[in-house]
Formats: sequence, structure tokens, C-alpha cells
Amino acid sequence: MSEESRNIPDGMMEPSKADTSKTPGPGPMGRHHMAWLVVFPAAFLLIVFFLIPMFVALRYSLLSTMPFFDPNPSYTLANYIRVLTEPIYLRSFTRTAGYAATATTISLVISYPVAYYLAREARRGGLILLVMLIPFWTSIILRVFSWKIILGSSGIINSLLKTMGLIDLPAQLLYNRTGIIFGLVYTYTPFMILPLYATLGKVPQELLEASEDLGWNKIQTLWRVTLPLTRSGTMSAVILVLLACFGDVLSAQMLGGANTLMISSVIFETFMGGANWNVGSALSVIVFGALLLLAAVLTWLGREVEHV
Amino acid sequence: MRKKTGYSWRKIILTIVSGIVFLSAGIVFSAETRELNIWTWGIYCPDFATTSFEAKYDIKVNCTFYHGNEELWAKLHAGHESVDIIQPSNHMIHRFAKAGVIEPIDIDKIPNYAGLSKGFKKADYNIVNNRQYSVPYTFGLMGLAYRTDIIKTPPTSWGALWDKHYKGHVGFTDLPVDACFVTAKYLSMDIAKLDADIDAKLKPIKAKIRELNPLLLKRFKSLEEMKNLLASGDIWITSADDGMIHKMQLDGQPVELVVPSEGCAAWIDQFAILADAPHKEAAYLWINHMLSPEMASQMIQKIGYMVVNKEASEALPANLAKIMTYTDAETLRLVPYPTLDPKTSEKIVKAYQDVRGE
Repeated sequence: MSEESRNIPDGMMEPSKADTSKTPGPGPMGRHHMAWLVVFPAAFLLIVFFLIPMFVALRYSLLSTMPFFDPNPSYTLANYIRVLTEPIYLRSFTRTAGYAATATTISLVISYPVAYYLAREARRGGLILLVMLIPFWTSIILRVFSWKIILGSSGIINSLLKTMGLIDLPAQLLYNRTGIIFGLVYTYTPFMILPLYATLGKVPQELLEASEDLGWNKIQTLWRVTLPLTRSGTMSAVILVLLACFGDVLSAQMLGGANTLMISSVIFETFMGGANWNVGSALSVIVFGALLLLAAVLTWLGREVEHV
Repeated sequence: MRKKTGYSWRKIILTIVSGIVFLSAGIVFSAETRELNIWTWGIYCPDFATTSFEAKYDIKVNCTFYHGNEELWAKLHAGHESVDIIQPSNHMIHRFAKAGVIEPIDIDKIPNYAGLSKGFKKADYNIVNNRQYSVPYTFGLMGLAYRTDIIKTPPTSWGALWDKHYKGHVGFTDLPVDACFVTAKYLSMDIAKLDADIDAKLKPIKAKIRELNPLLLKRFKSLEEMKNLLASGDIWITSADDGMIHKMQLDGQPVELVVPSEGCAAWIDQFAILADAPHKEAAYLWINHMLSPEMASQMIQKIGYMVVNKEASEALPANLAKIMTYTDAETLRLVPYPTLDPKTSEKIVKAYQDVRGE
């Protein structure tokens, strides 16, 4: 629809609806088939690599044991009961939620001004954005590892603080909560900046000018025009980063401490270390459900509000 | 006109790309004629071993790595098409054999088996129903390592890890079973009998690990990580595999490994052949190749662990002989990793999660 209507002059928009049948080209049926052809690769990928595994996990989570240990396992809710009653799972989930929320908030506070500058103020925002993303072409393991060198007890930050005479003993920045949050913010901030850049670029310039003409200063304009207009885009960025933080394993393992067990590590270990795939699956399903709910609530909060 | 050239360019690129795809597919399939697929620990597949084997037998060696015995157990159950050899530690052999995953070894096909060090040839852990299911390859132990430049009096007991003087500079394994063995040893439990009444035994073990939590800087996921933390001076004392410490010592690092007075667990990594291995003959050739004195000798120097070949272990270079031999008293304090029921392992994993997640 939109592709074709673009060629139609403004005045023709209304009648064009009735005229579609007369325009040459594929009819409604043909277009329907074309649409399927276009959607097929994505749908195929989603079904094979996402939906089917999800159902496999759902089935495993309801079995008493794995089919390869016992060909006739019985169905049970015991795995769910264990996940919901044993305190360790809820505890590592809330700990992870705390880290994820903190990292997402910090990332948002950093990213919004950066994205605003790149999208609206900078003359070559796109180019600067590209340059900013160059470090992300290297392996993530390497980049997270480099934080060990920067944050370590004899690392760059500690040496700097020492030379400036601000500290005597090195500050413990690694192997604790601080380390994990540094890692999460660093890893996922690009995923915050990119959608924000896109959404901020779409704010019509006329609205901002009108706001200033009508006497609002820059801060009032930002607060009452830009922020509401970018609310849904911002929420998408927040959801993206929040969910990514929840699934993070690398920062937790490389920069985290002895007692900062995160939920993804618990799931990994329940599968690989304890070989209890049933409890691991139940855990995955519950975490997936909780995150789905969280994403739904956040999407609802960020829904477009009619301003007129 | 422009449109036409653009179209033909696209055609050319498409032809080239599909050509490459078909060609590489051809290479992949043609290479499948003579090969050997090994699932093993990262250190057991060095280039010198694979290239010499490939040159001698014209069999391509493909190695895939895992990081833990339980991980291997889980991965094997998820599917192991065309895998020939696995290298679990001694305590897993009964479990694999009883599950029908591995098959008995035909010792006659491994001439170099005769050169194995005494005491390794036949043991409880590799015999099931009077049949031998695995061949020992290397052994190592989980002892206590410390920085000699920082800790001046050599520690003698596992209790040193719990010493409050080292707060914030203590390292500990992240592997549940290893952590459990260390703590059980410190509490003077018999780790060979953990299966019996495991729930009751895990209570004091958990309590002891809880005491350790505030003293720890990091639980290491891999020995490489432990090495880095010890080398940087972030940790001063830690539970550690001997092989990695030997390598650090060869590099001139101020570290030392002790076998604590309470004793420690020693693992013996094995070779086992899968029951449905497609390249069994090649598998025997590889095991024999790796157990030859020449390969064993090179391997010891490469990995810092002892290969159980008598000739190679007796002819260590001087720098290695100094750090790699244990006194009789120390050897007596070593206990082979016990064969545990999978349920016990799972309970240990859960217990370790409990104390780490608080």
C-alpha cells in the first residue's frame, strides 16, 4: 500500500482507495502470495530456531526425567514447584533484575543525550555513529576482557587515581557488582543508542520550531515535546537493553565476583553441570515468561499517546 | 543501458558466490573419507600430535572441546553423531560404560599400553563387569597454590584458604564437584563414600563454603582465569590444578603447589571409544600414537601434567623433574576422584548454587 501511494499526489489519496482494483499489477490474491514469499525466510528462521526449541523446552520442563535416560518419562509439575519454592532461583533472578535495571538506567542516561546530539545537532551524525561502533566489530570476549585491564587493581583507572593522590589502596572495581554493571553498560549501550538515534531523527523539526516560537525554552521543549514524541522508541530501546542484560553471561563470568551469581549462569549450570535438563527447562520457561510479561508491561507504558 | 550492466554484474557475483559455496561443500564432503573425531579437553589436541598423526596415517583429526565432565555427559546425550573418542576423567567411566555409551577396549590393539606407568594399568575405575572400558592417559590433582613472594610460610592445610589474613585475595574453583571435594577433604570426610547419605554430608560442606564466601575474590571458571589472577597478584592463595602451576613455574612465576596434609583429589583422564564410533580403527591408532614415549614426552612439557607413560615420566628434563615429582608421602595423600551417582553430582551442583547465590 504505502509503496504505491507514495507515487500518488496528495490530493489523490482519498480516491485512490477505490481505484486500487483498476491499477495494473497483481491483484489482492497475488499480492498476498508475494507477501508470504517475502515473509517466509524470517518466519522459517523464527519457527525452526525459536518456536520449536521453545516447545521442546516446554515439554522437557514437564517431564520427570530426560527421554534419553528413561524412554517413558512421566509428566509432572515437580520441576516448576522446585524452581518456584527453592530460594536460590528467585534470589538470583532478583539479583539479575537489579543489575539489569541499574545498567539499563545508566545506559539510557548516557545514550539519550548522545543520540540526541547525533540525530539533531551534529552535522555528520551518521558518520560519527559509525565511528563509535567501530570498536564493536571486534570480538565481545576481547572487549569485555579489556575491562579487566582497565578496572584491575593495577589497571588504568587505579593507576591514574593513585598518581593523582586520590587513593592509597587500589579501589576494588572488578570482581563485584561494579564490574558487572560496567560490563553490561559497555556491552549494551550501542543497542540503546541506535534505536534512540532512529527515533529522535524522526521528530519533525517544525514541531520543535513551533514550540520555541510559542515561548518554550530548550528544556521545556525537550520535556514537553521531544520526550513524549520519542516515548515509544525509547521504551523499545529500554526493553532491548533490559532483556539483553538479563541474558548476559559474559560480563557476569568475567567481571563478576565470587558471590554475584546471575540467572543465566544458573540455567547454564543446571543444564551443563548438573545435567538436570528438566529443572533447567522449567527455569528457562519461567524466566522467559517473566521477561515476556515485563516486555509487555513496558510496551504498554510506552504506547503512543494521542496528543491532539 | 545502465540497468543492463548492473544486472549482469549481479549475475557474475551470484555465479562466483554459488561457485564458492559448491566448491567448499565439495571439499567438506571429500574430506570425510578418512578422519577421526575426538571430543576432548582443550589441552589434549596440540598441533604437534595431530600433524604427526596425520602425516603418519593420512587420517584427518578433528577435535572438539568441552570444559567439564558433566558437560561432556550432557553433550553426549544431546547427540554425538560420528564422534569416535572421548576423554572423560576416571570417575565418569562407570557411568558412561553402564549407560552403554562406550565399549570395552581391545588392549591388543594398543602396543604402547605396555609402557604405561605401574599402578595405572588396571584400576577399579576403568573395569566394569570384568571388562576394561578405558585407557588412562594423564593425571593431575587439585591442590593448594600460593604466591611465594607474598605468603612466606608455606601453607600445609586446606584451612589456609579460610585464613582471614588473606581476605579478598583468595581464589576458589567454580566447579561444584571440585569445590565439594576440597571442602570435604578439609572436613576430613572420605570423598570415595559421598554417595552414602549425601544430603547429611552436604550440610557441613555448605556451612564451610559459606564461611569462605566473604574471603573470596573470585571463583575461577577456567584454569586460564586462575593463572591470570595468580600472575597479576590479585589472588595470593587458591585451589589449583597442578599442571597449570607447573607451567607458571616454568615461566618463572613465584608460585608453588602443595598437597595439603588432609590430602586431595586426583583425577586420571582417560581414553574411551564410543560404542557407535564410525572410525574405531583410527581411534585405536590415535590412542597408541598418544601413548608413545615420544608423544608423551612432548605432551608433558606442553601441558605440565604427567602422562602415564613410564619411559617419558622417568626421563623428564631437569627443570621439569624438579617441580613435577611428588614425594612418597605426598603421593599417599592423593585420592582418585570417586565414581559418583549422577544424582549425587546433581545435588552437589545445587548445593554449590545455593551457597554462591546468597
